[in-house]
Amino acid sequence: MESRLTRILLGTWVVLVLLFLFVPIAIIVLYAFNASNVQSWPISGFSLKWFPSTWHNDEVREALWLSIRAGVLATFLAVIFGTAAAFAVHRFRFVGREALSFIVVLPIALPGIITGMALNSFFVFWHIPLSYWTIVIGHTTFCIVIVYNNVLARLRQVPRSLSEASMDLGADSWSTFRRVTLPTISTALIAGALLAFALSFDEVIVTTFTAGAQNTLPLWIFGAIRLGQKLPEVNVIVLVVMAVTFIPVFLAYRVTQPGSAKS
Amino acid sequence: MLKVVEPKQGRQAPERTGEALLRIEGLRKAFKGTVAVEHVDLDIRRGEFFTLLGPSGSGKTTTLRLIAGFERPTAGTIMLEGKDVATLAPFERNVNTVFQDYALFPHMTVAENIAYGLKAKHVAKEECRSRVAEALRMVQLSSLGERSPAQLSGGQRQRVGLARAIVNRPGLLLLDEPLGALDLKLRQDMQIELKHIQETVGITFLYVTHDQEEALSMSDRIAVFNNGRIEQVGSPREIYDRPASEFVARFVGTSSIIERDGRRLVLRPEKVRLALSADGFAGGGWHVESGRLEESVYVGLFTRHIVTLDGGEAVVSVEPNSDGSDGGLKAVRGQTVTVAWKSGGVFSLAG
Repeated sequence: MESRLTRILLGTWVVLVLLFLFVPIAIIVLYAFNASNVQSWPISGFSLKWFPSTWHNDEVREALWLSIRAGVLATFLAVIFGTAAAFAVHRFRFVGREALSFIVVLPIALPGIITGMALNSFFVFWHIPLSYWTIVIGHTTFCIVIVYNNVLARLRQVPRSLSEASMDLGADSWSTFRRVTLPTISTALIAGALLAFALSFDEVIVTTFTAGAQNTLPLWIFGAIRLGQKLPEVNVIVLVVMAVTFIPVFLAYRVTQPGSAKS
Repeated sequence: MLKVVEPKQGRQAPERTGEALLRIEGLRKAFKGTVAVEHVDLDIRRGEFFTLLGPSGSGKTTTLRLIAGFERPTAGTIMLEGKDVATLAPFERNVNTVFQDYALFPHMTVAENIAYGLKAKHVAKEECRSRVAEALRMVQLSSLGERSPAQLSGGQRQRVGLARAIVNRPGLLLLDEPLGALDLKLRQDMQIELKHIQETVGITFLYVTHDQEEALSMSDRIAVFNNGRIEQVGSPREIYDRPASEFVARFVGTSSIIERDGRRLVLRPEKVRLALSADGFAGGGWHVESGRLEESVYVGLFTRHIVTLDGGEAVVSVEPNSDGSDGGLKAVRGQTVTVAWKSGGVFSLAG
């Protein structure tokens, strides 16, 4: 048994670590309600005035809309390709199977800057103008990994006898997939998609190299901070982005917990 | 040739129909580098309870999976009702399988699980409902149709697995160690119930197990597998009383194998008697030898004695603990005892 002192010291340490992680976030949240546009401590007064002003900022709106569109499409593509790759690697033994599973996971292991530069030079080489579509392609590379990993982990948990039983009972391959396999992996699929979207939504590095003149929300924030402009709006956006990303991550966590409905 | 056929009381002996429901010839299955099934020939008659018995890795489960269609054979034919199904997909064969791990669909209720095969075959809704109800009644789970499989015990899950298969009225039902995951008491109850259900529905059962007692107590006929080959096919009594090889003799029941006059004899423990003197064995066809008592183990129903014969071989003998008063063999470890068996109670192995 650890002594009382050890427990107190450990407890203090945990509190310090948590403070280290969350105090900056708390300060940003607090600044979003700052009455003054000068960021100083303590805040000069409580105000909600930055919320409407941010909402009516066209640049912010465009950036937000671009981020959502890019995230949704990249997630959609990642679900298709990531699931397909997970099935191929799980179900079949083929030449290059190990290589495939390695290559699929690579974009998340490589530093984002390498993926970004590689994509950028690829687009330039083929004279593909940087646009919404190049952002989507860039985001899809790492979103695939998330979906792939989630689905593959689930497929490995589902006993092979389930699909065998379905075929044994007279269902062909397609209806076995639709009626047995898909429902058993659905929560992993949803979790993977939510995490992929969250990842896409706040991605900066790859986006920097694949976006043209357009700004996604994180890019706009980055630009604003660098120029020291519109800092109150940035605080508001950070608060909103946090809320928006927290929800899918929380949901993903919930649906993959053992003991939750279906699994 | 094997000749002893034990007629089952109260039901038609399946031998009488003589018709092969399933005929397997020259079946072979090789996986990368290893051969799981070497050369299997098998005839299974309509209405039979047929068991594939063998240790793990002997090829019995692979044979079952080949019949179900989960694996494709490397060579050989699988004739089911006169049609070669060896290359057909599982959903194109008139067989259903009961899985060792139950393989119930976790996202469906018990009733939906059972209805799965009927729905896949587009059976009309009304008929589907009544057949599901009937199947539930047969496995005594009528009240649990709306439960999820996760809410059932192991024994109940396997009943659902069974109901899900027989509701389709397949020509042949394959059971892959269906009781393997259950505890002993439940397993024994389920053995009786399975046998009862098989006799009620009249479906041919092809049962895979490594449990020799289970095989002996349930089967009409047994095929004993070893190293991807069939060592012997016969009724439980034939397999037990006249094993065709040393492997069968050792795997099914307990055997002591000794050599006398150049013949290898199989001694079953219940046929070997022990006594303090040879007096009781005069006449009556007893073969008498002497040996040293090595061990006596009391196991409730009987006492197991291990004796080393003067020739050096170890022989096992069991003695029922029928009555406490006469106490059985009064010998201590290391004492010289008389070992006797009737020549009719032992048999010699070929070769």
